[in-house]
Amino acid sequence: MIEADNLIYDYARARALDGASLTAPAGEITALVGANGAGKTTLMRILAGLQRPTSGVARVDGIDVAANPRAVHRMVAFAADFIGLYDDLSAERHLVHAGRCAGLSWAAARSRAEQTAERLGIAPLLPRLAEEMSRGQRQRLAIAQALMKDPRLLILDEPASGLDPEARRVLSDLLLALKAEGATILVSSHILSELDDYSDRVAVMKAGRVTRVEALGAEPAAAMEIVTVVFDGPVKGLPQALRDALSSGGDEGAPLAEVLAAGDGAAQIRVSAKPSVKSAALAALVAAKLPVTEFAPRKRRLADAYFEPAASAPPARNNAS
Amino acid sequence: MASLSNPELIRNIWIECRPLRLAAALGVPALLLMISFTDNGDGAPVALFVTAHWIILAAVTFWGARKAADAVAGELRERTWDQQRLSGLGPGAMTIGKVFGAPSAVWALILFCVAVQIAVYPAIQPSNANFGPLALGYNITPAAIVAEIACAFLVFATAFFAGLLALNGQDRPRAFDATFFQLVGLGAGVALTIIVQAVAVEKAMPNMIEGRMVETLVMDWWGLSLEGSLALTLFAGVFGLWALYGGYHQMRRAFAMRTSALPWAAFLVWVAVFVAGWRPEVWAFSAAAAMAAACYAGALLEPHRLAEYRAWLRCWGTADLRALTAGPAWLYAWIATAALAPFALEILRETASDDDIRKLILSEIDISAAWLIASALMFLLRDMLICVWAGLRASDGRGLWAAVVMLVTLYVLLPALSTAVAGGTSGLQLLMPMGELSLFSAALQAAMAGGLILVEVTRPLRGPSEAAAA
Repeated sequence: MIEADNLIYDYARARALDGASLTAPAGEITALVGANGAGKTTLMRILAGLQRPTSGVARVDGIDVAANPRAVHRMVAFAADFIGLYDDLSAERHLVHAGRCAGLSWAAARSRAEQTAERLGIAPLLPRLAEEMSRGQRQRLAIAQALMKDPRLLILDEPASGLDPEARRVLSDLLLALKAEGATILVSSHILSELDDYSDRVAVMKAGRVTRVEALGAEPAAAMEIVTVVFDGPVKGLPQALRDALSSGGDEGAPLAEVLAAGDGAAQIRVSAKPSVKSAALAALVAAKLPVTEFAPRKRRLADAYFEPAASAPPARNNAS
Repeated sequence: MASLSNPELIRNIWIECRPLRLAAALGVPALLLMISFTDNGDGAPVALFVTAHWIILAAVTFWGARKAADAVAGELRERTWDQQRLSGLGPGAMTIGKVFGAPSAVWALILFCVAVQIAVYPAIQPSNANFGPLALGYNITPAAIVAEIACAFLVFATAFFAGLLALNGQDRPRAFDATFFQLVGLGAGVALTIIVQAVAVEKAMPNMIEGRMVETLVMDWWGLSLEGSLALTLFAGVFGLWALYGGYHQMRRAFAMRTSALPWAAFLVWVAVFVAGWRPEVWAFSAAAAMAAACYAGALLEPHRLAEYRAWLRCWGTADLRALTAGPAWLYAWIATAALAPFALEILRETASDDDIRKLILSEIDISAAWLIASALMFLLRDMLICVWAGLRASDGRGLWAAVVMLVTLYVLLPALSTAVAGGTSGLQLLMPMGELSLFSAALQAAMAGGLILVEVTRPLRGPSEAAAA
C-alpha cells in the first residue's frame, strides 16, 4: 500500500529526510516512531501528498505521489496532532462539507455523515458547534471528517496527543474497528504503550531515515523467549535463588535459563522456546520452593523495537545539497 | 460562475452569512439609507445613490477586502488548510468558493445597495447627475453601478491572490499578513481608478438614456473612446479575472499540481497592451516602464525560497527544459523589459535629444540614450537580485521590508550622502543610471548580489540530527 524509496526532503537550511525508505502493507496498522525531529511528520506529509520530496519516490497504492498528487489526495485522509476545525460550523456541517468535497450529493453526504457520526459515537453532537466540543470530541470529529471520503489510507500524526485516558481508549477501539473493516493506517505517537494496543508493525525513524521495520506480536520463531515470573510477595535473596534453581537441567548440562532481572516479587528470565525446557524451568522453580504465581512469556512490545539498536546502521550519507 | 453547488462557497456562506451577521450587513446600510432619504427631500434619489455608493466603498475597503485577504491566512491560522488541500475539491472550485464565499456577507451588502441604486436611478434628474470629487467625478450612470461591482471583484480577487501567493508553502501566517494582503487588494482597486481618472479627459459624449450630449470623463485606449465608468468596469473586470486566474494558478501549486510561469508571461503581455494603449505613439516606452514596475511587484510580493531556487538551478544543471518555465516572476518581467528596451530606445531617440535626456535625469555628465537604457536595465537587475537575496535570508522567504530598506538606502540615503559629500551629482552615476560609469557600477553591484545569492543557495544543509538538536 505504501512504498517510500530513498526519500530526501530539504527545508531551507536543514535536511529532514535523508534517504528514508518504507513499505507498509494494506490492511494493517503501521506505527511510525522516533524522537522529535526524526522526520516522522515530514514523511507522513509527503505520503499524503502535502509536500513534494526533494528526491526519491513515494507511492500510495501504486500511484506516484509527486506525479499524481490529486489522485493520492482523493484516497488518503490525513489528521494532524493539531485538530483543525471551523469553530463556527456544526459537526454535521463539517461532515456534510467533507462529503460534498468528496463528490457526494447533498442527500448522500447527509446520509454518510449520520452513519459516520454513529460509527464514531458523535451522533448526539451533530448539531453542536465545533468550539463547544471537548478535545476528545473534536478529535473524533476530525477523524470522522477524514473518513467521509472513504479513504484507502488513513494517516494520523500523534492522534492521542492531549487526550485523556478515556478518549485514548476510545481512539484505540476506533482504530482497531477501522482495521477490521480493511483500512490501512499509518500512525505516529510518542505514547508507545498506546501504539502497542493496535499496531501490527513498527517503523523506527532516526535522523531522517527508517532504521528498522518489524512486525509486532508474539516473539518470532526464535530459539529463546523472555518469560516473566511473578512470585507471591517479596522473596529474600531472589536473584541467587533463581540462579541456583536454574543452574542446570538444560541441554548438555547447561543452565535451564538465564536470569535477566530480579526484583522484590518478580523476575525475568530468558529460556529456550521449547515447551519441554520451559516446563522444566517452571518445575525447577517450584522444586526450589519458590512461590511462583505467574510464569508467562512476554509479547514483543513496540518499545523493544524502538529502544533496541538497529541490526546494521545504514551507511552515512553526504549532506551536500 | 459561483455556483451554489460549490461546497466551498456553501461552507463560507454558512460561516459568513449567519443570521445575526447578515442582519447587521443589511440592517446598517438600510438605516443609513433611510436617514439619507429622510434628510434630502427632492434630492433624495441622488442622495440615496451616493450614500449607497459610499456604503459599498466602505464595506469593500474595511470588510470585504479583509475577508478575501484572510481566506487562506485564516485557514492556516486555524490549521484547516491541509484538510482543504486534501478535500478532493478542484483548484478552480476552491478558488471561486473562497473569492466569492469568504466575503459573501459583503457581496450581499453590495447587491442590496446596488438594488437601491437601480431602484432610484429612474428618479434621478439629469441636472443632478454629477456627484462629487470623492467619487472621482464619474457620472451617475448604469455603468457606474456595474463599475462598483467590478471594482469590488478586482479588490477581493487581488487580495485573495496576494494572500495565497505569499502563504503557499508556509505553516503559519505572520501578524499583520492579512492586513498587508488587504492593502494589496485595495491598492489594485485604487491604482486602477486613479489611472483611469488620470488618463481620462472631459469630453461631450452622447448619453443614450438622457438623449443628449453630456460632459463626461472619457478614456482613449488604442483609438477607442470609452466613457469613464465603462472603462473602469471593463478594466476592473479584466484585471479582476486575471487576479482570479492568478489565484487559481496558486491554488494549483497549493494542491501540489504542476504549474509554469506561462500565465504570468501572458499577464505581462496584457499589462503591456493595457498601458501602451493610452498613448500608442510611445507604446514601447510605456510598456517597458510597466514591465519594470512588474519586476518590482514580482520581486517584492513573490516569496523567494531556498528550496525552490535550488530546485530551479538543479533543473538548469540537468538541462531540464522545465527550467525555462519554472523561474521566478521577476525574471520574466525583467526579460520583457529588456526585450522592449530597444524599441523604447528608438522612441526616446525620436522624441528627445541626448541633451534633453541629460537634463531630465539631472545628470552633469554626457550620456547617450542607449547607455542610459542599458544602465537602467542593469540597475533594475541589481535591484531584483537584492530583493531575492533579502528574501532568501528571511526564514519564510519574504524579506519584503529588508528589501525595501535596502532600496531606499540605495536610491535615497546614499545619493543624499553622496551629493552632500561631493557637493555635486557626479558621484550619483555609481548609484543610478546617470553617467558613463553607471553601467559598469551597476554590473559590478549586480554581480555582487548574484554572488551573495549563490552563497545562500549552495550553503550546506544541516543534517537531520543537527536540525533535531537545534
